[in-house]
Amino acid sequence: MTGLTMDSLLEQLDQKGLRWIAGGLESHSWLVDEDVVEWVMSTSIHFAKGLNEGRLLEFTAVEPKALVLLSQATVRLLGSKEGSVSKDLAIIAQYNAITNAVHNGSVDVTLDHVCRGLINRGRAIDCGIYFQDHTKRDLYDGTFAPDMFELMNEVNQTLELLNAFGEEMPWGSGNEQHLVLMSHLLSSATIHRGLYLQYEMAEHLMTDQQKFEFVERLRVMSSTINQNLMNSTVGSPISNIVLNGMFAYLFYFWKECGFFQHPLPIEPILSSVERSCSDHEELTPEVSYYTLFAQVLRLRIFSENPEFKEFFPHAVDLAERALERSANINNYDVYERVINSLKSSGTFDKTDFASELFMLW
Amino acid sequence: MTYIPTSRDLNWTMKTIHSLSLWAMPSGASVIIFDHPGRSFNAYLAALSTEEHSQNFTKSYTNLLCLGYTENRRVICEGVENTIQLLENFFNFSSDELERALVLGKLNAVHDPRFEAS
Repeated sequence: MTGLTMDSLLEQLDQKGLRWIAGGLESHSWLVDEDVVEWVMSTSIHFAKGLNEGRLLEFTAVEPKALVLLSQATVRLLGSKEGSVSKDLAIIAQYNAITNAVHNGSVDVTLDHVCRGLINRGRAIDCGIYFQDHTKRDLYDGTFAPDMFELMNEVNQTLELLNAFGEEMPWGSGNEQHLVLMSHLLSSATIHRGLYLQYEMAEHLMTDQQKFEFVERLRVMSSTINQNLMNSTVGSPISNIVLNGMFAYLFYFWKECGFFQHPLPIEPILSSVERSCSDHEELTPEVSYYTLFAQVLRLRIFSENPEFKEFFPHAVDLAERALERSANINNYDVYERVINSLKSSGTFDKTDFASELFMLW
Repeated sequence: MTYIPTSRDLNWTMKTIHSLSLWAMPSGASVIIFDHPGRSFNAYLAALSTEEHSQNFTKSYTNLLCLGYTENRRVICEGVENTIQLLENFFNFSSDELERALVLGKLNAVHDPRFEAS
């Protein structure tokens, strides 16, 4: 790579439209310039490759915020198709930030938490891609569950810390505490949901013992993390929609998995689905997007349970209306495809849904 | 290499210190005095401590920084080898007070299976 002076990276990013505000990248306006996009990718790969070749110490002079901006930019560029580049950039950023802090005596708490979120996200995507590669070859990846449970434990510790002591921590100006908590909450809900989706996707490849162990660990983990998610006082429309959608899916999973002697009632699940769908609320297109998961879940529940068949056509209308009012972001195309498939054939393809939605709400 | 704390490390440290004004840390041959409202601390280190003590202190120090604390002052206490000597010589703890602090420390220790295994 040429034309890159490490110590002026933050300045170079600024000139190319990648600027730092509270919590990270200011906007995605830089995406319209192909040269900038190419530069962002080649610069990011330069650092990620260096880390993987054991050359971390060559990058210690690079400004941590610049690395976080690149990491967040690669998240935008690569979505959930690849996690290691953004994770590697965040690892170098956190290493530099903490090394600097030990010398100068203070840490930027927001920056540290943004790095933790990016690292967790990247780890989850790496695990998921490896798992899905195995599943496509009809193999069950036995390393997935232990790695993901370890990761969920780390995420859970973060939520517990921020719920108990977040108010006392020295966040930067503005709403940094809110942004950080919101980001951890969304990522933990997404990783948590992803674990269940992957189980559903690979269930047919697992032995009874593997199923039992996976489900038993899910049960223990979910009860702890749900407690921490419920205690988080973010209170934004997106977090309410996401949490209701996630809880509804988890309980539907538990209802259907066959591990309980007495089945769970469907009413509380549907009630959470309704809250997450927010059919009759005024929502912005971006907030509306987050309701699409619950829209699909409602169609799935109605199509899989004959006693709700009469409600299916109205649920399709509501889902189509939700698509119309939603912004076309993240996995919009997947939701649109799944809703259309449910409408036309009444069938739900777990594998396709799980592989696409693993790490992006 | 710089030590990077996990969230579990940070959570454990925060739970341990949040109700303490004085944190005696035998593994780091040090004593830390907190000003929690000011989010800062003074650190007292045994000058004759070992390399292992020093590494352990740096880990706890890094944890505190990541929790948003800043160090006001660092005092290197000459002629002192460990935390007990620090408490006796620099904080005038009597043998009774030392024993009480030891018992209380064990009673109030935050559970972490990693430390129990070692």
